[in-house]
Amino acid sequence: MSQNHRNTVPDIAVALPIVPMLDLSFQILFFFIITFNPSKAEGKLSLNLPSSGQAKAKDNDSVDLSKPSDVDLEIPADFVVLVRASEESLSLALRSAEKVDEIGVLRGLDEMSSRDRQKAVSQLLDRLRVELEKRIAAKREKEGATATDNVKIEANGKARYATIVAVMDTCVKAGYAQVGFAPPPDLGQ
Amino acid sequence: MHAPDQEEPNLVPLLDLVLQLVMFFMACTNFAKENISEAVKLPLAQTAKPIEDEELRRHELIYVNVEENGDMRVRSFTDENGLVWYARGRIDDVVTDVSGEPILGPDGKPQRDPKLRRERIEKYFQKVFDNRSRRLRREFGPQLSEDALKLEVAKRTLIVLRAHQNAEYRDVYDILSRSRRAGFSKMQVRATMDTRSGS
Repeated sequence: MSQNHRNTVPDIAVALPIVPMLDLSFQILFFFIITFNPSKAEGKLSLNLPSSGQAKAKDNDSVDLSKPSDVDLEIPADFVVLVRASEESLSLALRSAEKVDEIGVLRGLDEMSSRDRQKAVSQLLDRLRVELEKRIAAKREKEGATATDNVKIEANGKARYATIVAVMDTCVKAGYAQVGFAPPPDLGQ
Repeated sequence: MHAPDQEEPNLVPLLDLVLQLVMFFMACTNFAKENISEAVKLPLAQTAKPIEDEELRRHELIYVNVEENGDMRVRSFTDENGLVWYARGRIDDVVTDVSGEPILGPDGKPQRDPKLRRERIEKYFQKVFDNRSRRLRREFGPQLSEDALKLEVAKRTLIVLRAHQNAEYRDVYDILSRSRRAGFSKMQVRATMDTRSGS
């Protein structure tokens, strides 16, 4: 019988070496926890610049590298969103032809708590969105319901990129198809 | 009665659990990040759309990471002579001598000159554009006109701009306009998707 047979062979413990395996597993686990870096969901905003067909400079020698670039990232747009931002203030305005419509100015941003600042900025952006929606609605009334428009953003050179993207975001939300960039007026400084 | 050495706890379920955890962290770890600079904290955007892999596959990509201070991080590339360009991957404004070593100022820190960065960015885009034109030229042969070739390069290339949220507008604008001047036209701006509902 098997029982008998088993009793005849020397008593060898057949066991999986669990403990070293567990040690190893913990090491691996530790490594992955250390390197664990869940990336935030990354999204895109398309920025199709109009193809001019060719580069403006025909050869490298004709480019004066010491000068700031003056090539406009322009798309034909009826008006420009003017952004003037610094650490303590933010102002938004719309410029079409030579007419400037003030949207709003925020001051003392550096003294606010980050929560208040966020709130104030998002309120200002909402005002911008309402104004932009008004303009696009007027255009659609004139040219049909599917008309879209382009808009350009002009910010001062010191403005933070986050502000620019927030304004861009607002423009897209308001229904603008393309958002372009105008050179900062203080580019050369 | 059990012998004392049989009293040890049953480790098998624990091992199972640990292996499960290992699996989880392994699955979540993304190693392929050579194009992405961790130092770049992207701005938030509610209208950001999910990235389409199809679009990325169709194009040759140029990842441009812009750091907080305006320095640009790019991938190196090898030209047709086997020369590696931008091996260090950083385009900054540190003044260097002929051998590429930074020149230290009186305060012992490397000297910086924003003009230099502009020149280097311009040169980078020109270099990449020329490199791709030459590659396409070999593919299409000599009958294609120079302008059509440039258009084709622009059509096939997508610039992925990942700029830090605190970068300054003029640095970002500078990079965009210089890539534009080199001849590129398709761009994609990366942002963190803001899932809060718009007010």
